[in-house]
Amino acid sequence: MRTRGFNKIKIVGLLIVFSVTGVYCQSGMVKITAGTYTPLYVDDTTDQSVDVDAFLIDKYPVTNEQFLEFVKTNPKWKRSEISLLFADNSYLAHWKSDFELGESVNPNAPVINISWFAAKAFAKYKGKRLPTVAEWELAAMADESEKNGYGNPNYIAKILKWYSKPTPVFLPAIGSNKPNYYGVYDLHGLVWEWTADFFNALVTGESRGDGGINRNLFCGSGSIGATDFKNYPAFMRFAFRSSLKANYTTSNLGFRCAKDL
Amino acid sequence: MKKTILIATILIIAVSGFVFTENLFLNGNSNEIIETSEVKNEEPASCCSGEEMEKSEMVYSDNSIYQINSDWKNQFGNAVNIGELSGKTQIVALIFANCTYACPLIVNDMRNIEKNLTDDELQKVQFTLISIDPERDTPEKLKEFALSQNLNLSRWQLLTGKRTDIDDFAALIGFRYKKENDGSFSHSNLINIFNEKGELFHQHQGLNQEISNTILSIKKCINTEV
Repeated sequence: MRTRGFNKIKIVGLLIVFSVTGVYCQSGMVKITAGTYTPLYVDDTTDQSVDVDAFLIDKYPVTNEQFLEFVKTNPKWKRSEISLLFADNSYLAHWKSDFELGESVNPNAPVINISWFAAKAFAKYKGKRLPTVAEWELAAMADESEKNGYGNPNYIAKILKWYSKPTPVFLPAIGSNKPNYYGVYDLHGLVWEWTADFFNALVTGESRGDGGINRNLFCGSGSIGATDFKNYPAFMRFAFRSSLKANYTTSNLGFRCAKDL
Repeated sequence: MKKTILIATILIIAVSGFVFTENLFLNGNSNEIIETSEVKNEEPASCCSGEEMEKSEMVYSDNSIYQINSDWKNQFGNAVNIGELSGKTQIVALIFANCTYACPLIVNDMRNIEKNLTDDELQKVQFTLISIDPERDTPEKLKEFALSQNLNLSRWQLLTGKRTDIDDFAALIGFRYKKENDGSFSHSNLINIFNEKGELFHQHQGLNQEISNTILSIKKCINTEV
């Protein structure tokens, strides 16, 4: 009797452990501790640094397989029916059909050819959201050993090296690079990623007079105001975000989700 | 020991029995169930006058911004579904009430447009201001703003909504904005003209720009059958 009782406890204990790890693994997210993100440029008049609360972020970018599952359950997001307002002509163009990836597509590679609206809808479906620019940049500051890897010239050089390489025709699976300090994979080195407020990169025609912020950001005189001259990749990400529209889809732009703690 | 097995067996039989009969029951009535759930889906969450029902069932064109189907509050605190903007030529700007520089100029441009339309044309347009500062721009605040700007509320409406819906709207028209640490916003200066179906017809960009082309465009939009 006694041993049986003990076994029962053991089984119940194991079950609890399994279900807890199950939930944890299923969510596939890691915590990014609170921090401050300082954009690469400085506006003379206001402090631009952003305090970021602790949040959760997906360990990996969303994959083809995961997005296919979403499209199957939410067919209004299938390729053949999407309105051009929400995704342009190359939406999921690498897939064989509405509900088939085809043989050349690695199900475990990050999904690409995704619009901001589609990424946002997926995140909502999962009970998550897209990370903000500040959150994404905070997570992406970390190299393999430190929260802020930007002091490490090798780290920046590595990111730049990736930026200079053309996107491979067949993207590899997620998780083939080493995780960063927080345990997040592929923030650099696989695909660019959508952010919730990509549209806060103001380039032209904004309220403070056409060209004002623009010049501060991009032109020769503007780089005098930059906080970190060496962080060229951050300039490139800023420029990339400035060029996006919410219905754009391209073959090197995917996403991952975030969540409040 | 035997007792436990017996209880377990009974439990298993009971559970599977229940599932099985439930399946039978569901199958027998499946058509009906599907029909009911479909009807439910078409009904808006909170119902509704006949007119509102009609709008929620409307199928918008592929380029209609009203497909986003978002809910807002106007300056009187009344609920407004984005689809209710259809049927008129809409002249829309995104603003925030605490804005000291650009927004009053944008509103001024819109008032200039208003002055240059005939009575007949004014019947067919609506001026809509959407707040990008929902934390501070309550319906009361927007009403105050409307009064301070002398807006004719039979033609103008001011809307506030959820951040995610504001983002969607902004994204659809290519409006960029950023909250600054002092609580103000940097933003694009855009006046957007939508036809009665909610398709973007014209955008007026920048501050203090020549407005006559935009006025011509609005007149064209009003008088074009869509």
